[in-house]
Amino acid sequence: MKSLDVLATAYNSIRSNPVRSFLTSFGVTAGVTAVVALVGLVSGIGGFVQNEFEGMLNSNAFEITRRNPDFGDSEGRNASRSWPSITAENGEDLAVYTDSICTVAWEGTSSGAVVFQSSTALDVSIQGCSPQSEIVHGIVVEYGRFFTETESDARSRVCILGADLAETLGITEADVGSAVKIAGHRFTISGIEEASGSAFGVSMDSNVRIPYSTYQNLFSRPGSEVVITVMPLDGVTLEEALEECVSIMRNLRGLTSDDENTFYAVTQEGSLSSINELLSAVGAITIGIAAVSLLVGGIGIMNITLVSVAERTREVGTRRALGATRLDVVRQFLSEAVAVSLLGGITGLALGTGIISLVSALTPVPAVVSPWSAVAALGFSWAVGLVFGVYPAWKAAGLSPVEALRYE
Amino acid sequence: MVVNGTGLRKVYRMGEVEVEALAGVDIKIKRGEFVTVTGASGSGKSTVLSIIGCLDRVTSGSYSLMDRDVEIMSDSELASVRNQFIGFVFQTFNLLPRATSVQNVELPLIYAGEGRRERREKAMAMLEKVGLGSRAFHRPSQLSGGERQRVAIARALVTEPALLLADEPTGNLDSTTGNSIMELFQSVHNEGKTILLVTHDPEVAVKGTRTIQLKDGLIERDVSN
Ligand SMILES: Nc1ncnc2c1ncn2[C@@H]1O[C@H](COP(=O)(O)OP(=O)(O)O)[C@@H](O)[C@H]1O
Ligand SMILES: [Mg+2]
Repeated sequence: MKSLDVLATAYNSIRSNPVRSFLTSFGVTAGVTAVVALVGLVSGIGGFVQNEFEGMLNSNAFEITRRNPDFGDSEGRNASRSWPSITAENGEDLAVYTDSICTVAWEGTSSGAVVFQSSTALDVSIQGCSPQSEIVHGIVVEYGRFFTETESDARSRVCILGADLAETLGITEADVGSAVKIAGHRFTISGIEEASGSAFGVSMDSNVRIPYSTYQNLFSRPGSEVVITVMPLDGVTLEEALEECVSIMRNLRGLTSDDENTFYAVTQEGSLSSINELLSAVGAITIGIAAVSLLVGGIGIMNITLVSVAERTREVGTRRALGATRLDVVRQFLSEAVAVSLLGGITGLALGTGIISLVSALTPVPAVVSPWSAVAALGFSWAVGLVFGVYPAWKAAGLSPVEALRYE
Repeated sequence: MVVNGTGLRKVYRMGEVEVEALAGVDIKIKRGEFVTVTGASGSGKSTVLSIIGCLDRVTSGSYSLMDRDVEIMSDSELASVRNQFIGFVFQTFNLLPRATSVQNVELPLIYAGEGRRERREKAMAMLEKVGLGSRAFHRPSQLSGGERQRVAIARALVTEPALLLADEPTGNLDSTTGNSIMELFQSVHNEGKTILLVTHDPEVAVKGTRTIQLKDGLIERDVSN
């Protein structure tokens, strides 16, 4: 039998049984679409989350906090509720004792309305910032200036507005030095920050910052919770600074060597890796879902194939009686099955890619079709064609012609 | 000698049970004979046909077709022997359901490696010959039983085989249609074709020039008509 005739026979068979061919390729299409779209979405979301976090965090810093960085650790979260608060006093003490190796900043957070002339912004996050917050968080003041240590010590009522907040209130460069009301208290605008973008769709530029001392005086009580951020000085590694701060915190809290820490010291890498853990858990679930959809597709194909096995086995018997060799039969079914399932696979890849493009066009998630999922998808279609399409034919070709002809 | 078989035995093994479908059959068929094989159901008629047609191998005995020793041939050699020397007609027609008449008739020529145009010409000519030129582009489902069997006969004859084998070709047809199919076999025979035709129907059996009667896998009678 000529090769061209093998292909022509396969093509005729595909075309002459459109329902079977369509259903077979549809099962593959469904499975491949699911795999390509899901894998693309999850890796897109993963990249997105990581990106946003990287924008938010300072890679050369760590936090001292009661917040458990491990998303999965509910036990740890419960335990941390009974720990003492992380306070501004802790921050001050750390700053004093680690003066030579790091810079320590802390912030407390409250919220309230900010009013400028006739404009009002409700529910603004009010950040009480320590003098070193500017350095540690890399705050850039575009117009005006950050508040001074003197202003901090004097509990001055000065504030720095986030770029978006300033815009909302109609505050411009010219208004630096003017008055705003923060939660009913009169403040002087000392500066306006440079825009730093958003994370997870939430603007990072809609805060108002005031000196921590002022914050404590007006919005908080002594001993209330803050987040401490520590940045090592030049020539000091993050690990050295972390070790030192942990040991000082333990001393401050009077922990003996048997006691566990009653705080977390979390590097950005630490929180990223716990995010990555979360994402890989999501990834595993995705792979599970994808596997199930492939299985469902595969079962559909098997069903169709099983129905046609009897018909196909007798077809094999007839062809063999008319002079087809085993090789002719296997070649024919191989090209037929691979053609059908590759067609399904390519359609699925196209559909999955379409879904992914739609998602990245309509949402901020930069979803992409990962090359390995495309390869896996086409490999899967090939395997499905082989297993479900060729296997019965292979078995039929193994029978003697008379057995194939008698097949019920 | 077209067919020369001696001491043909065929034993089917189904698990523990052995069924001796042929128990030692000697059969010789000369060029131009029209042999009919009859016997009760289960007497071994189809088995003898599949051995002669090289669809299956004997358990013991020796068999040659067209003076070729088929016992020693490989599976692919047997395929080519079937393609070259034998035409099959089945009780259930065994047409590919989704192929047209002419495509069905072309099938053996594809395995013979013939080119497209020759295939089409030969298949069309053969369909004309069995009286179905006007049904060349119909599918089996659009044909009557008798027409389907004519397509199958055209398919069996298109390679100009030395031997035409038919297993109960009238078994699924009413008697009028069956008779017209038997007339077709007779006219094919009159053109010189060697035919072996299996039937359980004594009225059909007498249409051959010679009738072999099987019983329990053995030849009970072998008579000229
Ligand atoms: N593939 C097979 N497996 C087991 N037994 C078989 C097989 N083919 C035929 N037989 C048995 O061999 C005997 C002869 O069968 P067969 O040649 O088909 O008879 P006939 O065509 O005369 O009705 C029967 O008993 C049948 O059951
Ligand atoms: Mg029979």
